[in-house]
Amino acid sequence: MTLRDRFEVIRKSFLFRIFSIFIQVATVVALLVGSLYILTEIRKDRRTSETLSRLTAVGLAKSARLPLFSGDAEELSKLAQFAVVNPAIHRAMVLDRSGRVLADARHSKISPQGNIQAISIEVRSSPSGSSPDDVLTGETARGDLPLGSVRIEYETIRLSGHIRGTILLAVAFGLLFLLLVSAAGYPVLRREMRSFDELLRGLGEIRDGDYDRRLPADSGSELGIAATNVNGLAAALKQRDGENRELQRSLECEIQAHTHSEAEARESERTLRDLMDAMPAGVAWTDLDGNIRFMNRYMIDCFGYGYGELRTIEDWFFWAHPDPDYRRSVLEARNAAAEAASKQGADVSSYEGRVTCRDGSVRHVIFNNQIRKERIVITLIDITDREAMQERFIRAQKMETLGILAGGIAHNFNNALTSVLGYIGFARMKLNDPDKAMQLLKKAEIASSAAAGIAGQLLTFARGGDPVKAPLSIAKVIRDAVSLSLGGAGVDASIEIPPGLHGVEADEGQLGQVFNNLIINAVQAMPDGGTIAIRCANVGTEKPPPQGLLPGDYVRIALSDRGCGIPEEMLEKVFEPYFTTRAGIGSGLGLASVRSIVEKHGGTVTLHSEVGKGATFTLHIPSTGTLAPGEDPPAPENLAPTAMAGGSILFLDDEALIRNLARETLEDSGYRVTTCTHGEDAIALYREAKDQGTPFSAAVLDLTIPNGLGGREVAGRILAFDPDAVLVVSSGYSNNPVMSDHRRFGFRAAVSKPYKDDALTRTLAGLLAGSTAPHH
Amino acid sequence: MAVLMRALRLIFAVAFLACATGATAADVLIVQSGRSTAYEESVRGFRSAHKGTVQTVVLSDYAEVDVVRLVKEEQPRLVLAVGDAALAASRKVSQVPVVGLLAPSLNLAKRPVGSVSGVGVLPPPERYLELCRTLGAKRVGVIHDPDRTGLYLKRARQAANRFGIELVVREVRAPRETLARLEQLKGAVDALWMLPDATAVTAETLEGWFLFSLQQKVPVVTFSEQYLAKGAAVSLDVDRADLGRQAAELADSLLNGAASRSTWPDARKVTVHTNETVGKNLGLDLSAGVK
Repeated sequence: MTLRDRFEVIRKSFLFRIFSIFIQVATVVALLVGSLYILTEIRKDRRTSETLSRLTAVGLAKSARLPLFSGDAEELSKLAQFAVVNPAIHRAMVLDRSGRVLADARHSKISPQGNIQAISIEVRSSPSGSSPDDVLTGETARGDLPLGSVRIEYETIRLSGHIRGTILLAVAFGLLFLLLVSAAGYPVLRREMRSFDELLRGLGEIRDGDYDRRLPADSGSELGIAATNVNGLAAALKQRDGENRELQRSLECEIQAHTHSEAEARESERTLRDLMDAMPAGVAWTDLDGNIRFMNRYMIDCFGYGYGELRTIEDWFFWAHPDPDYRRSVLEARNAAAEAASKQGADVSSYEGRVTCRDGSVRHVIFNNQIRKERIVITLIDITDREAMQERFIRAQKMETLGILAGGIAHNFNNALTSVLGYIGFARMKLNDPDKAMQLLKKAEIASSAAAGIAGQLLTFARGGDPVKAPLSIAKVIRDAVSLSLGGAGVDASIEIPPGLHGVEADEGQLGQVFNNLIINAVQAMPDGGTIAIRCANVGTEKPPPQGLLPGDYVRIALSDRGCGIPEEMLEKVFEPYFTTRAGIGSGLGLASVRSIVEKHGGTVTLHSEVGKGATFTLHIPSTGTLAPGEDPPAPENLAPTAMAGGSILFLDDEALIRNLARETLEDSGYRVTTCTHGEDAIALYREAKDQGTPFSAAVLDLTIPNGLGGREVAGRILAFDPDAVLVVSSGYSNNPVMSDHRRFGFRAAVSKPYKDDALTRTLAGLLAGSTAPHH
Repeated sequence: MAVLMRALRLIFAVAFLACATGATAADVLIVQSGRSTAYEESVRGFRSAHKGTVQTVVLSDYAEVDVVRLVKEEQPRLVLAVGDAALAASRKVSQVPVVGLLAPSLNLAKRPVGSVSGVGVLPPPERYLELCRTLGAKRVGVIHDPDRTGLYLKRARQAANRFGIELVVREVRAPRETLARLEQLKGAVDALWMLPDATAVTAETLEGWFLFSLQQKVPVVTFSEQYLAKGAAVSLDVDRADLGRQAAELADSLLNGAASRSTWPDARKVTVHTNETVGKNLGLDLSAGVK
């Protein structure tokens, strides 16, 4: 125990406090007695001083009578000097009847410090005591005349020295008194407190559990009575202690069980809360007064309103439905649902509504209200995403249906065009003179080519075929598309290709079509000219991918124009087929094709636009994660000159017009042509000819044969028994992978329908002449 | 030790006188009681008026002086006794005339017998009575010891009638009786005449005289200016130098045989002094007619 702790113990002890009180009382008594003594002494000193001064004045007056009478100033001065010998007297003056000072003496060692008191006594010729006759008659003494006066000034402050001495004496006596009282009182108190200390020690031991402790009980004294009572108390406590211990044991068991139950309840509650928070629906409950008691995590995250912000259900309605009219309608719907549920005896009432989130977005929500044990459980099911998904699904279904329909139409349309163009070209070859018919045929050919282009796009949109993906530089595709589409448009392009831009695995042709369409769309949006900004960037896995994309590496291409912009309500519609804001200019298939191609590549295209500020198309296309390949695609093969050729040609196509066109044009070029409608027939004819020793020089196989083997399958069968077979694939789906990568499937060349000019004959001529014919 | 010193001084004095008279004897032997200013002043007056030679012996300088033997040895023609002590010491001188000077006992109590002459220390009583009359006093109180001033008061009483003044006389035999006598005079006198009476006027009773004056509003007429400051209104002071001169004239007359040996003239030249403050307190205008 430190000295300080020991002092604290002593300070808090009862003995110390009693002794302190004792000392305080003694101090008060000493102070009172001392103060009274000092006051009495002061008063006595004042009286003494005053009396002394008055006596001095009287004596001076008496002594000065004769000198005043005789005008003996020297004697008066002596008397005045004698008067101020008294240290209490500051000044003595003798004045004549006219007030003239005859003698003025001051105490040589005293300078006035204030509080001067003065006594003046008139000096008369008769002594102050009159004769008995005068006293009886009330007359003044005969012949009494005033001679002058004496004035004695005395300074009461001179008493302070004596007062200080008195105070010091009183203080000294007081301290001595306190010392004596303390010295005498402490042992007495200590002796008297010994029994009390023993009682306290005993109480402390009993408090600490020593209930067998018994205190010595002196008969008669208060402490003895207290000790007896304490002994009784100890006995009672001992009995109670036993009972309490037993009770404590049972309570501990109960508390343990209760604690366990509480822990389980807490765990259960925690689990319930975790479940609630993990639920993909908003859950909240209120009391019957509408005070919100719980909101799960989903509800907070989805709508953005914190638990502390919303205190009542009215607060929820206020914030979730800011439009008063709509709020009123929601409340009416809620009440109606509750009434309906009540009538049906159901516990749950449901209604729908739009909830305005904290960020301003609007969610479509189904509310389920259920009353459970004085609380209303509210379940909110956000069907916004589900509705969007449904919309996308419906749209996809619609598009698929539309695609099938368009594909069929386009296929037939293309076949028809193939015949038209073929015959036009065939006819033109027959017309050697540039006469009027020649001009008209050219125009018809141009118009038919345009129709063929539309059909091609329709086919791409409808089926498009699987993109023929290959690693490529998207920068090159963009530059090619810009140079192709901006010719003479009066629009500039700003292309930002950062160094290290990753390559993409994509179909170059389809991707080129995407950028062609986007650039044409931008040019059309800026009829007065302007600049198209194209910015590319890598989007890595470290950033969350845009909505609808799987995690991975992407190349982001943002294409912005400064055109008139697109209203918000049209942002989604622009990607629908045949939707156009520029009737007469666009076909309505451009942006639909863009979305179709991009999504087939595993990417997304989004549009951000504000009216008057232009539009930005942002494309995300999966990247290879590495730099794009540097080599350019192989240079186009030289076209072989058209020449008369010989040989037999097997021509497979399901369309009679095309078969006839092919027969006529090829035979016109010197070939023997055998046509067939079905793939099986083609195989049989080829095998038969080969077996007979007159094999076909080449076979032109239509890629798509409805309800039968297509060109790809037929080629595979033929190559199986004649690996050297010269096979040419023909199709209206120019973007079909078989068309784009025909060599991998065993074809020597590919010819797209409709056949332009003499493309087919030139291709066959090139092949049969020993050179590889280009595909078109 | 002091006695021894005085004896030595006497031996020296006799030796000195012997040496001095060995050549030429002095005409006048001045026996002086002491060396007070008054004595010196009077002696100076005497010397100024006396043409002969003088020798001086100051009694207070010696323990004991035998003036008779000294006169025998020195053989002066006249002895001038200055002061009562000197006069007493010279009374037994019979060979030469003795002239008293400033000796109150000379002619105040009773007339001296033998060859002693002298000049009185007071002017004639008439001068005092005249002064009292000037102050307007009809009743003049006098307290005296007849053994000291009986002769002079007798002369005063004789003259008082001429001035229309009633002298209210109270006799005292001891100084302690003075205050009682003053009490008896309260309301009975218009002025108080203080005589050079050593019984009536002492240091202890002096205040009683002036308190009487103060309380009874009556002026005190005294014989010395010294008492003015104590409370006296008017004093009639003799001219001490003139007293000496007067004594010299008397001595010359005696030496010439023109005068008898028992001549006691009063002081002839006096000066009146007043205390204006006392006069003002008493309501008297002392500056007007007193002088």
